[in-house]
Amino acid sequence: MAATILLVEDETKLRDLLRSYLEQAGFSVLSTGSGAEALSLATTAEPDLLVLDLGLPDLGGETVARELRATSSTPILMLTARSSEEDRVAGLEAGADDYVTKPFSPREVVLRVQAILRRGGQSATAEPASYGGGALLIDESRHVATVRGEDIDLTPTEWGVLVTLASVPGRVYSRFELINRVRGYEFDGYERIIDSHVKNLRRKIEQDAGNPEIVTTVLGGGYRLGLARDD
Amino acid sequence: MTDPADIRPARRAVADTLRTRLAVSFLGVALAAVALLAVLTVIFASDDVSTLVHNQRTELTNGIAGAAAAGWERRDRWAGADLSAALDLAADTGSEVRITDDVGRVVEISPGFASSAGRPQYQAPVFGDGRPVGEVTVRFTGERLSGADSALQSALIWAIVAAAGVAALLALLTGLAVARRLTRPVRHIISVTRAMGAGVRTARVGPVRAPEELRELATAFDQMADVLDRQEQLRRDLVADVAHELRTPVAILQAGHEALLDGLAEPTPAELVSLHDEVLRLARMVDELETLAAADAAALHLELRPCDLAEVASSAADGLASRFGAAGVQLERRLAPAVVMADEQRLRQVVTNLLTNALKFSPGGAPVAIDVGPAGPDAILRVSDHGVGIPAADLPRIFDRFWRGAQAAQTSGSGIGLAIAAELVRAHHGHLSASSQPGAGTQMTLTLPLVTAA
Repeated sequence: MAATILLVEDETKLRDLLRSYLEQAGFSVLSTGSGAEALSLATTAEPDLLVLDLGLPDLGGETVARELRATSSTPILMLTARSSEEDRVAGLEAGADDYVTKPFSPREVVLRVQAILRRGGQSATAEPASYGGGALLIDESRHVATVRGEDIDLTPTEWGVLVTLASVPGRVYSRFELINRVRGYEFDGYERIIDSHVKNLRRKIEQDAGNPEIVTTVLGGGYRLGLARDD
Repeated sequence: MTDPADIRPARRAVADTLRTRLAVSFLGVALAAVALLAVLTVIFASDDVSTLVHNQRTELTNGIAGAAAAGWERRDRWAGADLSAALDLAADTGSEVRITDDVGRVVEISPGFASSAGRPQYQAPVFGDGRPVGEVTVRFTGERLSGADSALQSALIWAIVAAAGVAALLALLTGLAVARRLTRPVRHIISVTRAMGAGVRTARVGPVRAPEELRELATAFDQMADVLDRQEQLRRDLVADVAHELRTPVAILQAGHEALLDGLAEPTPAELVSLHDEVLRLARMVDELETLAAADAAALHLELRPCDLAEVASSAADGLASRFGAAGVQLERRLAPAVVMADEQRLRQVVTNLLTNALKFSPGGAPVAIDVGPAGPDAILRVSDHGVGIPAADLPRIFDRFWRGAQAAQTSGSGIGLAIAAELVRAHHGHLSASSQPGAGTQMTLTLPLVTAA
């Protein structure tokens, strides 16, 4: 049975986008832009998790979290536009289990939601993800990548690049986006350094590093995963 | 980077501090006063002593003349007269005497008289039977009277030297004590200034026990610190506001683009237009930040001149006439002259903003009114609309930067116009207020001090 997520975000466009991502990840999603409505939905619909915006126009997200905490233990992921330390602490004190600061990658929100639910004992995909007819297996929970039946030893950056590319097979990732995802926003350097990591990664996983099939180059764009996901 | 300690002047053998300067000044003044006193004392005292001696000598001379007259009177002539009493009196007082008759012949002379020429010499006539019969001349050689003045003078000098010593000591101690009282608050102000310099924003001098000038310095310093603190706070608030406001459009753009890249959304014209709107929102925000910065700067450099608020309102209304016409909103003007001190261009900017807001929230057909006129000591400009109104809970927030009402989500603008208007009005020493009945309309009221015809 798919877990139900209650999405509380007043910015319509953001709400719709997050909703698509969560639904695509297999969750059933209820959404509202009002804190008061969120509280009533939380009691009637009994969601498995709340994605809650801190800056709501009616009731603040903090108030919603506090009131909800008084009666239930539904996990809460806080979306906050405030990144200062005190606000994070305040959000966590109000009962949030985790937080994501705006602007965020919607996929990161999905990953956090999955992580919280997994922590909470909810069944998550224990099976490693499989690509290219089993040529590549990625087991995120065990942090292991297997290529043609062989476990590969990867550096954290190489692992990050591979997992990012594999998250949406076929989608092009620019060097800048890869750096941001792998190293975080504080990275402030020459984005071509990602090329050397890709080169090392290819040496480890490709049969012919000069003619790559798994991590392929898109001229003028960046990189993408050359394999399709097996379902 | 310079360490604050480096700013202090190099320490000399005797530090050039307020303390030493004060102590030295006190000492100098005290010594000068004592010296002046000494000089004057010596001058006047020696005069007094001389007078005293002179009087004594005159008296003695008269006494000797009296004794000589008594000798004369017993014989009625000088020949054979007994003048020993006169000679004895002279000898007793350490002086030499010569007695002459009425024609200047010497009738008696003491042995040392001739050799004591140059000594102080006094003369007195001798009267016998009521007529002058001769003269005595007395020369004072002994120390018994002439020494008195020098002894007196040396005693005085010693007294003065002692007084000078005591005065110097007192001056030094007083100087140090006063310096201590003066330098303690100064040192306190220095330490607070250093703390401020080191970034302690709450550092204040507070009340000090000090002379008035230092108290004023302390107060002025604290006021300056408050102003700096307020400006710093405004700057922080602005940066925080900007970061906060940028996050939402950026979050939408990021999520929206990722959805396109991830294939979760199709790049349909509708999708692209929606994302493009967010870019426009960001661009406008950047524009308005520049306007806000310019308004902040303008608020600091207003050229205030007497001008008629009614004329400003009229020209602002003229400028917007076509937009009102296009929207089918009637603009009613009720303008009475009211002269205020204002920067005309900035004031027109404020009025234009108020009218634009009224237009933005007025449904077609509902008229907007602008009223100008004097009210007591003030000039009032009121813009009233019959639009959707503002919920009571939102009223206090409408002048906040970037604040946009919930119903404003569909309208353009980033909510900075009113913040700028309020800022400019404050810089004109006036204020801007709002009242509203949801559903019935909003009144924005601009109040400026009226210029009274002097």
